[in-house]
Amino acid sequence: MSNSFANQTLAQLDLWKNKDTYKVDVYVLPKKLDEEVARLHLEKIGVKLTTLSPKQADYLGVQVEGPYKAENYRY
Amino acid sequence: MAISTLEIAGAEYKVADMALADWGRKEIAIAEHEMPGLMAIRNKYAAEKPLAGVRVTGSLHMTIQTAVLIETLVSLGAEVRWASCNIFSTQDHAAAAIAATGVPVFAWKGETLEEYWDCTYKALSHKGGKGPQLVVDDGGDVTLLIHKGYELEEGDKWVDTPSGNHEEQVIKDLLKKVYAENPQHWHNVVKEWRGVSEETTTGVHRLYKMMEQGKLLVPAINVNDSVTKSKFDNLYGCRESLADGIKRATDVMVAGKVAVVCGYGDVGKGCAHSLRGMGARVIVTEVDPINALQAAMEGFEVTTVEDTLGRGDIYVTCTGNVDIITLEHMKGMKDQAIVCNIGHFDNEIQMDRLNAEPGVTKLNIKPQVDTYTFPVGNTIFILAEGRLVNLGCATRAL
Repeated sequence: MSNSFANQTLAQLDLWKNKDTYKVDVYVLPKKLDEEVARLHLEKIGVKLTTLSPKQADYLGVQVEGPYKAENYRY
Repeated sequence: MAISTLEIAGAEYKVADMALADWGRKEIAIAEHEMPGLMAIRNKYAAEKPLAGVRVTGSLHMTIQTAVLIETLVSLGAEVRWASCNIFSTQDHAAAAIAATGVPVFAWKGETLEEYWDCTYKALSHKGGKGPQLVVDDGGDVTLLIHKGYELEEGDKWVDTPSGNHEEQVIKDLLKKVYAENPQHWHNVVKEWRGVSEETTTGVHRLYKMMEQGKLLVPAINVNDSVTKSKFDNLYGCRESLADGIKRATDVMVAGKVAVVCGYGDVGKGCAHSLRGMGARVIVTEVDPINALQAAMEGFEVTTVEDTLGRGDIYVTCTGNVDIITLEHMKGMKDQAIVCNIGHFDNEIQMDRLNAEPGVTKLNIKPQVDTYTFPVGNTIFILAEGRLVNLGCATRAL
């Protein structure tokens, strides 16, 4: 539930921070925040993440710090 | 059950037993270590308090894990009020520990539907007669109540229409009562309501439907479809909590049993693998050819519920749809079959029809475990009265 509730908290923060610009609609959190939620759990689980080299990032057409996947990627 | 109630300024709650608060606090401390994402956010924003003074209403299973969420929102500055989103899902020690901190919480395990909706309404009633500015919803009940109340004040006649079930009538009666007291109540609430974040598939489905119909009143964030939610808690959470719920409820050996998992979405995948991991022979039912093919490629037999009757020992529904296990199915099941649901609502199994069927004998074994014996002699187990088995019979949320 840590994943769920980290997303919930980020959603609450985002709704409040951007309350004056949000239009009525149904949104999902940006992929960057999704990746951030996962990242926050890695240390506890003992995951050692590989970092892209600038050449690799350029080859894939992404930023070194992400987001790493296109919006239609399904995991 | 005697319910501890205290409703004075600054200390308002309705929980089962405040003596459980110390136990709850100890388990919250353990859960904090298991929820590093939430704790990292807490540490990052605690000084800044970006939600300072913001009125937040939560309607989400009042468990130990949820207590960590509530305390995170409080540490970010929010003024939080909370209810559970299921009559069986509250862990009473969690609710007591939260109440002891002064956060108004209205939740206990085993609420009636009338009590459940009253708790929801109390969680929506912030100081000074105000409503929430933000809502944390799970299944969309708070969002539904506000919208239906608002529509009633706009002249909508839904509350006077015949109800399909008892719960619908309870909601209508509550809305009529609120309307009689203040015909502008929900308009006043909506005026300052800035958004909702929705936890689960069912609630998200409701939100998109409201959006399509042009009825949605505030921006909504679909938390369910964050990859880190649906591909994790729905899948891996249920992979653990389904087996936990069935085991705690029945104590049966799962190994060697034939288990039928209805629906092979994220939750169904977790359930199917959970039961297979314990040695069950798992059969999957599906309507979607893609999910059906996925199940088959994982080595599961895929067939219809009808085709499993007489050999299925355990049935689990996880479709988000209605009428998956019908009364006719249950009549045709093997003696001692276990039937449960892990989808958000209890309409996946035809409980109303089962309870109304003449000649069927119901026997309560223990809380949230009942047997039903049919005239021909076969007995089936129903767990958590057809509501979420992992919340009703174990502890973890979907």
